[in-house]
Amino acid sequence: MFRAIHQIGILLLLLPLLSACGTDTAPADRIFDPFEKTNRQIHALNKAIDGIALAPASTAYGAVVPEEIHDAIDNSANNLALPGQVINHTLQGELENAILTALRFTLNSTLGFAGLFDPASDFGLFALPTDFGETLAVYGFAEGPYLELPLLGGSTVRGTVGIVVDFVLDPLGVYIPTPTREYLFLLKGVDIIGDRLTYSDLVDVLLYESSDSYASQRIAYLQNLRYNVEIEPEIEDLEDPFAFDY
Amino acid sequence: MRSITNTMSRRGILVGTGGLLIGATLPSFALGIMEKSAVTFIRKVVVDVHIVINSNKPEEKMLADFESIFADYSASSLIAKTALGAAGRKISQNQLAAYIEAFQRYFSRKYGRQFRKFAGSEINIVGNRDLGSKGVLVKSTVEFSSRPSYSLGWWVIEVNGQPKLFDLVIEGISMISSERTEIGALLESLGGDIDRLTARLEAT
Repeated sequence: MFRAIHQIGILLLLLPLLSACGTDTAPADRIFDPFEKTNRQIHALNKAIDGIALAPASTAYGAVVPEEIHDAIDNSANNLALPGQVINHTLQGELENAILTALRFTLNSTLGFAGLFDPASDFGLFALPTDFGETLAVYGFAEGPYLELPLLGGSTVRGTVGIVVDFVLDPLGVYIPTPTREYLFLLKGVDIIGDRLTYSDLVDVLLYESSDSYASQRIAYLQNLRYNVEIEPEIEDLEDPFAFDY
Repeated sequence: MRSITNTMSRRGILVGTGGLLIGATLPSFALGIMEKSAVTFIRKVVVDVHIVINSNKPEEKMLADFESIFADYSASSLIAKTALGAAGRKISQNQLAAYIEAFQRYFSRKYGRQFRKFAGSEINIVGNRDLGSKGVLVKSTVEFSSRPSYSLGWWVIEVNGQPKLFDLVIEGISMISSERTEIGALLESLGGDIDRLTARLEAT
């Protein structure tokens, strides 16, 4: 706990990055993408990595690894993310979600054999994912420019700061000794391949069936992000349904 | 941050009231869409969608059913024109009509495939938001027994005194925004040629 508090210091160093981003609320379609040129290059890189490595790896993974093991790896990786989510729910003042997430972690870590199974979902206790990017949103920080990150995909300046802080604040990262931690990194890596398989329909539609996959992913990411931080667009910011009634 | 509330299965109630509503006449919309009427309208749409996704028909049959639901309930030509945007003002009436027809088929098949994935789910209406002259947003959740639910918004507008569906918003992601991005990029890649765009949509 003391270590966690100490690490907030790092966060305070990062905050000035965000304050330059302004605080205006935005229409649903608003896109602030001053780094579009670089972002598009990173998108091309990500798409190439997906085409050359990730998509074939996930197909092979699906063919070789039985579904039960795929599920167990996915459950495990997701379970390990829960303590960090408890912290973020708490920081956001969402105590009910924090308690439900802690309960989910407890159930799945015990009854679920260290997270290999997901009995909590059988009780209707589904995941309530959140991250430090959302915590920053709760404290009023603007999302800032859109960013596409290598390997990680769509984000914003606020979201990227959140990823860094989540990594540093993660209680498991702090308390787990080194060899186990390396095993966990491997687990997360394998889970990314599994996720690529689970969401193959969605990823394929976005990356390979869109005419401009960068723009399609960007608008979907931003709208979903704004929905998750519960910014309900103002009525005047919604488009006029009759604007093109020509 | 968003909490998921587990609601009891309400399929019985939904289908029961829906069955009654299909036969009932809709109230007058002369004074603009009242929120209640928009909710009534979406309940009717949801009943029809449920019937199709739980019918166990082969994909092609289901897609045909979705095409007719789309034709009956949505402001389909307005959706087509909104996705095309300002580019539609510079083309002839014939070109516009051909584009709209191609778009409607492309669109209903694309989203029909999405709706198929709702098989075995319950769509429950959970609220609504009055958007003034821009209509009403009816909020629903798509609930599965073994997966987390997700939110589905139905944007209802009034066209010639009738409620029509203008947009679907899945977990905050607007179908109209996605399609505007898609159609815009497609048109640009085809050198701004509307006839080639129409041909491409027909081939999809």
